[in-house]
Amino acid sequence: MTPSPAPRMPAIGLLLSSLLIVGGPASAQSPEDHSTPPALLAAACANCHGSDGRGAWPIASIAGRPYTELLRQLTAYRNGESLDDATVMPRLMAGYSATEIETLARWFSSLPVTPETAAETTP
Amino acid sequence: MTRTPIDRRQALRWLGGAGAASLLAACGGRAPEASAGTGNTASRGARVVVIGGGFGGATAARYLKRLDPGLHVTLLEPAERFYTCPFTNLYLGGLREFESLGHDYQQLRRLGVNVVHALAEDVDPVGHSVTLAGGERLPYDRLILSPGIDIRWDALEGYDRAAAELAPHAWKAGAQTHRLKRQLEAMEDGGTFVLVAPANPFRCPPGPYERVSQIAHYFKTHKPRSKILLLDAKDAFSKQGLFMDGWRELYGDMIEWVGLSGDGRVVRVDADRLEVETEFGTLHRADVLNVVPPQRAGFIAERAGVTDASGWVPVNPRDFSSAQVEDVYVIGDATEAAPMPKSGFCANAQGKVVAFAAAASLAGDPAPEPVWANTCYSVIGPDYGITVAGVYRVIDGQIAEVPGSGGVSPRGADAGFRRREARYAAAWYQAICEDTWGTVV
Repeated sequence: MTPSPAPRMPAIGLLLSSLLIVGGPASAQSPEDHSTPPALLAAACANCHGSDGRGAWPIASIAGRPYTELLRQLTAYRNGESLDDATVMPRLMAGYSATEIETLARWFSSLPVTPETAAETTP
Repeated sequence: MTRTPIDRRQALRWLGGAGAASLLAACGGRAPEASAGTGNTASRGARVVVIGGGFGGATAARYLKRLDPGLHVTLLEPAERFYTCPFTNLYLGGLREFESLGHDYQQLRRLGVNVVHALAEDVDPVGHSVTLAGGERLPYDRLILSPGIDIRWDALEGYDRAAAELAPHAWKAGAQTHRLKRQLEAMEDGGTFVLVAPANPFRCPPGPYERVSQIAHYFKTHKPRSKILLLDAKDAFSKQGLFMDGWRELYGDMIEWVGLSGDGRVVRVDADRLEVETEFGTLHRADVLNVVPPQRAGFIAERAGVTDASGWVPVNPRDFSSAQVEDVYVIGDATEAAPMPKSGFCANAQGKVVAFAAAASLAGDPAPEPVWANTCYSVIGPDYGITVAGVYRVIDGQIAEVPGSGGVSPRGADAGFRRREARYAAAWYQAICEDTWGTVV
């Protein structure tokens, strides 16, 4: 039932573009920050959460979840808290900066929840 | 939100198939607007050839095409259906059907990747072309090698191709895996399974230890009087404490591990007698003998001139370009990427970094700042999973684990934690296969 990834890309590109801009002034870089493109940063999450943030149970689907919720969760992981039965996430998020976590939260909150939503945006 | 109009223009440009540049721009880095046009025109029609359709190569091809549909991406892979090494241990343990580990290339084709089921026999790095087994030559602007491993048939006395028919390595998924499974099924209850583990580096550092775990599960459910002996050429291994805890909890004293200093290093194999000899002359006889031999990069890496004296491939950390040959990138188990392990997960992560780097390079831009993550799941029993995780970046010019990140599952965690990691392992497999081949398991 997986639709071709191709139709999803326009939606991602669209959202990505918004990330680049929204990230603007707020993302002044601290010394620990890196300049990895958001798309590449987010690609590191796909190994477990799926190419477009739709994980297979019981790994969470993160596409389209509210930004504030994702930010709160990822930040908690980064601070070493284990929420919602997570096992690996605190160990992984400890390797990311606060700015990167904001970027990831924006990225995944912007993705469509279902492939059907994405397909609708296909030109 | 005052910037929405720029945002919209960006989006429309992308919807029009504007290319990779807007995706390559760093968050907070140079303005994506400035480069969007140039990136597109510079890379349009460029030819990228990817050799190897496993976790590294298929991911690189898929992400290149997703990044820039205008690129001509050819993926060379002899197999029409690719069977993953990850989870073959679960097949041996009886937790998984072999067919569930196979993936085809239909989704990559739908995306526009030119998938060619042929063996790449040679590379001409000066003329920028790849020669196929049939003699056909494919020109490239950038070449991505994801050749996996080859067995070093000359590295362990008595262990050659003929020996592997009797004492399988089963370190590449396929006929060897089936052979080992049949031997385990044919073995009498009360028999001894011996696994010979190599020194570092080798494909899948936790692999031998997950394998004995899964075979112990099979024995426990079918042949409970059987024994497992693991003869190891090293004194420490991946997730050692967690594995040993799990073995004790689930399998009692069924598994015996003998490390290097306990005379665990095997120096000679007699496959006819299913016998191995260790460094100090101890003979061990097996009913089923599984030899995981020393390895090196897949042969096409040597043909391309990217290997060094070790048999592995040195790469530039930032973009996994070859340290020796221009316009060639190398990813996956073949590379010297320590501290990143030789895992399918890392190959997939490297495939993405290389997709971005190659697209940038074709557009005349520097490779973006990389970040890689890895999680190696090992399934000790049906409800007992463990992990080691890591986040890696280029620090002082070297690949390094980000301080304070990563590490293994906690010792002494409760049964619920272990059960969750076993469930997550299955979901991880599904996700990474989708991310690599576009397939759903």
